[in-house]
Amino acid sequence: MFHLLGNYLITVSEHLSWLRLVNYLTFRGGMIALTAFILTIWLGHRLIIYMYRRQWRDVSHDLGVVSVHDKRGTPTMGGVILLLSILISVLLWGRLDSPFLWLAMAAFVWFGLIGLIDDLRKIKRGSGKYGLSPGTKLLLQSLFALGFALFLLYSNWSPLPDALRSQLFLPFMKYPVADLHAWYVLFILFVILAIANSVNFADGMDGLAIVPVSTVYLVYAVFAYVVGNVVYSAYLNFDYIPGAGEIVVIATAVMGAGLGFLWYNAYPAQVFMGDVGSQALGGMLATIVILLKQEFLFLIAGGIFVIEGASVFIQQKIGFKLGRRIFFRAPIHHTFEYRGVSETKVTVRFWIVSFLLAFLSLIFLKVR
Amino acid sequence: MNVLFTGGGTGGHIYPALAVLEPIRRRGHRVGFVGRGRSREREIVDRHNETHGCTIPYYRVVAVPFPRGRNPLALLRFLLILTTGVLQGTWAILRFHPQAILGTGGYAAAPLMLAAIGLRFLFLYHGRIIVHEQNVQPGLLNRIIARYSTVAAITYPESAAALPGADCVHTGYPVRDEFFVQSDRVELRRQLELDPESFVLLVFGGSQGARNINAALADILPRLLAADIVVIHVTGTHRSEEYDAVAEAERRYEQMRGEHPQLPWDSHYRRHPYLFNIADYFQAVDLLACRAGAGAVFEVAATRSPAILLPKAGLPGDHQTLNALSLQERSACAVLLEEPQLEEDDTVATSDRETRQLECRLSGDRLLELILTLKADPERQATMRRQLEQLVPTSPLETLVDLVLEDKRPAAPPALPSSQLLRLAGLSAADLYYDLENRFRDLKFNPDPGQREYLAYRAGVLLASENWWSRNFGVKLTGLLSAEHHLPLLAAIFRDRQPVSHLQQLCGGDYRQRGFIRRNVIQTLVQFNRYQSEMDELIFEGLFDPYWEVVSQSLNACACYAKSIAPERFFPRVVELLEHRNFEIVQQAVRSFGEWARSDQDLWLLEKLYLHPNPKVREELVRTLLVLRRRGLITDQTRVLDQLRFLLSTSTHFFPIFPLKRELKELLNELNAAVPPDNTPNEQEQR
Repeated sequence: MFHLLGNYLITVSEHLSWLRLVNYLTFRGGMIALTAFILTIWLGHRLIIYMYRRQWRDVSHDLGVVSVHDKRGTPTMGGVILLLSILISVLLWGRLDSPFLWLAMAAFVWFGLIGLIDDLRKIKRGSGKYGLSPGTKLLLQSLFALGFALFLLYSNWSPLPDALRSQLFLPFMKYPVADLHAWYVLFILFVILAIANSVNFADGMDGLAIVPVSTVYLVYAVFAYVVGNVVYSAYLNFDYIPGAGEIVVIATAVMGAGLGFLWYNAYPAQVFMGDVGSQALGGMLATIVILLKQEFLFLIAGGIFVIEGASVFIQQKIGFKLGRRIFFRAPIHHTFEYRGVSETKVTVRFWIVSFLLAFLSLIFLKVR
Repeated sequence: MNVLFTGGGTGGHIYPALAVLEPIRRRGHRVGFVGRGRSREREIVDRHNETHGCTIPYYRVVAVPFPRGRNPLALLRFLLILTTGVLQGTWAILRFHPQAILGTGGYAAAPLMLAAIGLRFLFLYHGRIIVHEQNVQPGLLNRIIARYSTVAAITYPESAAALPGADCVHTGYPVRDEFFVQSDRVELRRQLELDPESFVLLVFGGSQGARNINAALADILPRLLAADIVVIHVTGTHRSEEYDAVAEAERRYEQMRGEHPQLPWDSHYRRHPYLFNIADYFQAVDLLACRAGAGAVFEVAATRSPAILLPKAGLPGDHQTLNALSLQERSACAVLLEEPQLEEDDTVATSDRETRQLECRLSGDRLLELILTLKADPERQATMRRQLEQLVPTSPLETLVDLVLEDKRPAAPPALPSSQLLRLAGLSAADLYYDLENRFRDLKFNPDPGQREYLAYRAGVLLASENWWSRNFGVKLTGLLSAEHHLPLLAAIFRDRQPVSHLQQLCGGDYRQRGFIRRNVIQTLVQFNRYQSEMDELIFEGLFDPYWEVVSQSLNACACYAKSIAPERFFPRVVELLEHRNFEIVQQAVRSFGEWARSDQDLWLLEKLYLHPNPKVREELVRTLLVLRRRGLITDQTRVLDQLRFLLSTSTHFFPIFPLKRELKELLNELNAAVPPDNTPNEQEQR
């Protein structure tokens, strides 16, 4: 909105020529992060109180389970705060004519709604057991993934250049390693389901999901800036994707909102992200990863999520077949907790690892 | 009058429909049958047409069973097929113009019943919809349909509790009329060439043959004959790759005859694959031993024959067991349940014994005991006859025909309290366990001895199931119910060392009795909370198990039963485990160590744990030192104090305290103490 407004006002008066700032990604990126942060702080407080009033809380509203030592009874749907503040700030600062922006926002809202339904069902029925079944969740997620993949590969409005669409890139290779043609649809399906769900698994401790998510968005913001810029992409040997720079604005919005959310979510949490938040952030991240053609980079940048997802898969699928535990507990952060490392410490250690992984990922800007 | 019948999926739902259909057809009414094409019901209806020389109009519908599990694709397929079936059912009703529809349950009945309900809702069908349920535990379809039917005819009065919202009428099971004709016994015996004076036992496993019944009978046959009992054995005609009822019975017979040539085989033992005049035999004999399907139970009741019911274990809803128990509760019969058995056979090689699977079988010895007690107790036989007569005073078939044709209802059945057992029996292994666990935890459930016995029996059946997940729940259920008599079964499961496939071994699997099962066996021993000397060996073996959770649970069991177990053999292993890589094992080992350490010298074995990297181990260490101190084993106080200075006492493990919640909890405790427990304010808020 501000982008349109600014460009219009420039033509109106010469005194407003400084408003051409809105055409610069860096300016909008910084502003959107601040806006999202302030919105989150402002909204967060009110929404937490609202959720208490509506009794939208964890486990059950039973007074019988008040425990001196744990956080049962904390509101779960904190993701709504993220959802609102990111949507509003993107509408304010984004270029509303960019297909990248609309694709990412579509994923954000779709996955957010899946999570919202799931959370509401859990709250209504008073137990975590009664959310959407894993099958239904996967079905809804795949519906989006399939539509997105077909749109990206075969539609006339696809924002990706024709030559790049079904090419597969590896982080340290200059040139695409393979052209997957129609198989790329399946690949997209897998990437979206894997990323969205692994972010969901990571959301199990205060601040555990939001900071690593923010660092992954940071990495992809940098890559988006490079890929969407003629000069830098040529210099660093990336294939130029026109318009991809708009992803910078979205990613920085998530980082700003993420910091604002951490404000409330830091140990001991006043609000949990819930499925609303983790699904929405994960789903949007997956689409961004695919739009920038950096799917394999996620294995490094999002290493935390890869490990979380893998540990759950191994424990539940393979471990069940074998009839034994393979890790002490899954997802993996609970293993550390079980071994006697407190929640706060596990969280901060995961943050540290996520920062290290972010640095490592940025190396691949040049090493290729 | 036009009457449409439906029912199917399995034979048990088809025969009652045809039993009611036949007399109605003979009275000149127009009848039709709705079922799947190329199916059991089609076969049976065709055979009925042949034997009775008639042509019943047959309408085809498609149907599949409701998919268990939460697979959305299977559900979608089910819904599509159901919709098609309902449209076909609608077509059948619109063409046939029935005035009454009788559905006897089974998934093949779903299309027509749903179509009838839909059409009646649209005022396109004005006739009656009658549901008939054969078992104590209503099937899924009947539970849904009964609510919308005109009337639900039930076989057992208890079923009314499981059919909320239905207009239930107790009719019984439509047994063919020949069972009700009371003939002269002496005459009958002469016809069947039976000695009028001797005690005659009929063993009947159903037309499909019952392997377990045949096997149990073979075990005790010589002893039965020695007790001067005439045995009529119906083997059944079942024949499959691994089991041929007729040939197997023949083989066993020849073998026994060779072993006991002195017994009166020719006069006292008859064997038939199948009996066509079974109703005559039912009336002629003194005692019956048979399965407890709805049909069999009512045939027994109709002939008023004293019977031992032998329900088949592990059927859906456990309906045979419940049928039998329901009769037993009225002292109308004796019941012998199938239970998982261990072979006492010494000829089986040791290696075989390690790999054998538990199986649900009938105990021959107990069957013999039951037969002999019943034979010696004419009083009890008379009671049975009386009770059976009370249960089925008149022919249920007549009642049902009247109900279908004229809506004439029988007198109201005696009201029975709703049976909690009925609900529990219908649950799957996992649901049953979690349901009971919740009840036990909330202390809302205190099963009476009868219920407890049934649940323990159910746990035993689960222990013998094919699927490891169910066996696991069997073990957990055993622990929950403290069913200590299952201990030998648990031991057999724990010692079963049959390996899993190589691929699974590569991934870290070990034995068929999975790690979880073995862990839960040991946990169950702890739950029993009473030491028995047989546990000793199991716990010791657990200390060497390849799966770490079993080792740590065994150590836990050691600590729990430390006073009862003789530590000589255990202690060296516990000391060894103090150096294990897995912190959980070390933690538990330290605990057992504290219970068993004998002298001051042992204390220094703990020395290396003062700097153990895991805070939970060090926590346990300090706790153990406290235990040792209280046991008076720490004599050299200064040396321990000196060492404690080197204890790595910083920990990453802590509990927060939320003062606000602490105060809140205190307030709540005070408030709740003032309110009666069933009426807490928060519960009212929730409603």
